[in-house]
Amino acid sequence: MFKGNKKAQIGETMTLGLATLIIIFLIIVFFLISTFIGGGASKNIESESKAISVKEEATTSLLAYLQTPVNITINEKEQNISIADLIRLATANRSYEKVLQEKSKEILDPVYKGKYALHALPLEIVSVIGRPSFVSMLIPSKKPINVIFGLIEK
Amino acid sequence: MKSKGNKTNKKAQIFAVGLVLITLIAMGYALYTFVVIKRGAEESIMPSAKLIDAYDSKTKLLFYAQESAKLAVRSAFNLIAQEKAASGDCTIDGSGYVEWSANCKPDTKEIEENFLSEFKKNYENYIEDYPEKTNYSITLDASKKNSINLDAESITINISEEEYNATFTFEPSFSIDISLFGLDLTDFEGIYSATQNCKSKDALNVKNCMIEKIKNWHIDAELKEPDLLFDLQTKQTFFFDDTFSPIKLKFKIKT
Repeated sequence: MFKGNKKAQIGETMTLGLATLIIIFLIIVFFLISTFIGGGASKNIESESKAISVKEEATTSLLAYLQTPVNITINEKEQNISIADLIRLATANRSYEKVLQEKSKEILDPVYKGKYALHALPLEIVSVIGRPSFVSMLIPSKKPINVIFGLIEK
Repeated sequence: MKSKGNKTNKKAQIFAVGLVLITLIAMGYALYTFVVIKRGAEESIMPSAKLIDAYDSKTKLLFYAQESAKLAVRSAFNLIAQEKAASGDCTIDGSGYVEWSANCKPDTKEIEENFLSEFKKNYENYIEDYPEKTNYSITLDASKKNSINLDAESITINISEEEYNATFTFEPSFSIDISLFGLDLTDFEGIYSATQNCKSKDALNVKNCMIEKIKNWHIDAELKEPDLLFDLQTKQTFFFDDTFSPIKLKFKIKT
């Protein structure tokens, strides 16, 4: 009588033990799946929102850069012109390339400390480490000039 | 007793299986809810990215239009100074000096009309090269005289992804103030009346007299009997084709 009761107790305990093990296993599996899906999602959202803000900053910076007035010497006379005008001038007359490069560095280096890429025909400054987010803007000229500016995501 | 033990064992088994099933259903539902919320969060950020892209398109278009307008102002004013400053019965000599007189003199109203038509032509040449097409209506602001208004018809950018559609509509408009370039459409009439007031046989006196009256131009006058030849240059230089140069105006009057 006592023996039969003990057997039943062992069977009951084993069943509950097995169920507990299955439940623990299920919890671990679901936890891993959730972490995998959730981790990917938050990474996606984070990188997407970072890319948006870097792109926004690059567009604003490029616009400000193109409108920045600079003093340069043209035909032995000091002239105050915009960077957009200087790019047009350097595109038509390559002797102004160096001036454009110097003025561009003067404007951009203090802000971005070399972590940017700029391509304005014929000028090219690429001094970036990493993959920047690029934006571009057209300047009207005889043939429109495409100015490309890139910033690295922080 | 044996059957009682079996009964208890069976109950325990049903309870255990039920517990596992309930856990499975609860976990599955939690996972499903999590996936749905995650997708929602991802989808909510994508339209904002597209909207910001659309807004950037507006910024770029407006910048290109404003730059085109600046170039068009310079070119149109240059053409007026070289060819259409005076109207009426005009003659031009071999050296390119137009003879200004009572029958051939600047008329601001006509200059404004010619300027606007030249401006439109030049502006359209530039804006044609832009990938997105816009039709700006261009008017000279009658109240301000030296201000050109550019109003575009509304531009719509379609934003579409697999699961949503949206449109971003804007009406880019801006003004260009000619006087900010050191130019003035009324300058030509002013120059003509200054020549009449300063007229004399002494070119230096004429020059000095005109310098006092004209502010936007460098003035040079030379007497070549019976004519007084004038060579004027704007104080500001402008970008034309491949270099910066002032706008030049050549004319002569009888002394």
